[in-house]
Amino acid sequence: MNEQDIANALQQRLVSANIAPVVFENPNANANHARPFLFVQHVTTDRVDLSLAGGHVIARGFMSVTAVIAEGTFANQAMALLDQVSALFPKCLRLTITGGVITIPQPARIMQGFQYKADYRRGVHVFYDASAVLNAVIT
Amino acid sequence: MGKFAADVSALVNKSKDRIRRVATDAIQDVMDAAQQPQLGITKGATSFVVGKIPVAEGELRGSLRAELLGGGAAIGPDSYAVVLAGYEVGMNMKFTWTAPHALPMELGFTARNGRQVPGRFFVGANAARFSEFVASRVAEVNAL
Repeated sequence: MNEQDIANALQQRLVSANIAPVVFENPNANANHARPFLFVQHVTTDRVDLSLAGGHVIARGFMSVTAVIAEGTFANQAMALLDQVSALFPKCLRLTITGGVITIPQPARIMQGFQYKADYRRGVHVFYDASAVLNAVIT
Repeated sequence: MGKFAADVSALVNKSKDRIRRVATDAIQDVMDAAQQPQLGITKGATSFVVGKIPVAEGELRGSLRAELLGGGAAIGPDSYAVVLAGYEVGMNMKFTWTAPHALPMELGFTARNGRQVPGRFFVGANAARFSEFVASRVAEVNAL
């Protein structure tokens, strides 16, 4: 279970839902995209292993999804997009990944919106706990 | 007061002190981490890390307003330490970075050329570590 698997699983679920065009941190962040779009960033916060023998890593963090809409349009457009993102990741959702499972431990948290230059932006944090499958450690 | 009652009272007070210590230390850990500076890109930095506050002129870091709801407030980079000194368990605290570019720095923004500038998450990434800080402080208090 590695961080790339975690990011891929979360981001693939988002992209598959086809809520709005998704812009990722590196591959297409340099282009000037038509609004609205969702800017996705993967933030890691914690990685622990409480087992004596090791091999049972728990990784925590959040996927930040920012709805970017054009200046001069109603802000609730961003909220509607983020509501759809939140609904995709309800509490207790489990996603199986290579060597582990991702659990969504709490509802996604929609952040305060703000206007900056020609954008109105509003973000949501989708928190995750990912743990290595325990029986893989025991056997 | 009988000895038993006095013993219970002493135990309760000791527990309260320990809870307060865990709470204030863990909150301070979050704020210490959030206020950990890194050189801003506009000042020549070529990279950044998530979870540290970018510093160019120091305006963002200095814009921190710490408030004990129903109590006092302070403004400045170390204001949280001042306010935490008056904290008692059960009180609510509020920390606000009041600079206009605080949210763009936190969540990311669009640069003039259309590029998406990633966020630094100096608040979100450290707030998400709160339970980790609490566990660490609980272990510290239990070891006393």
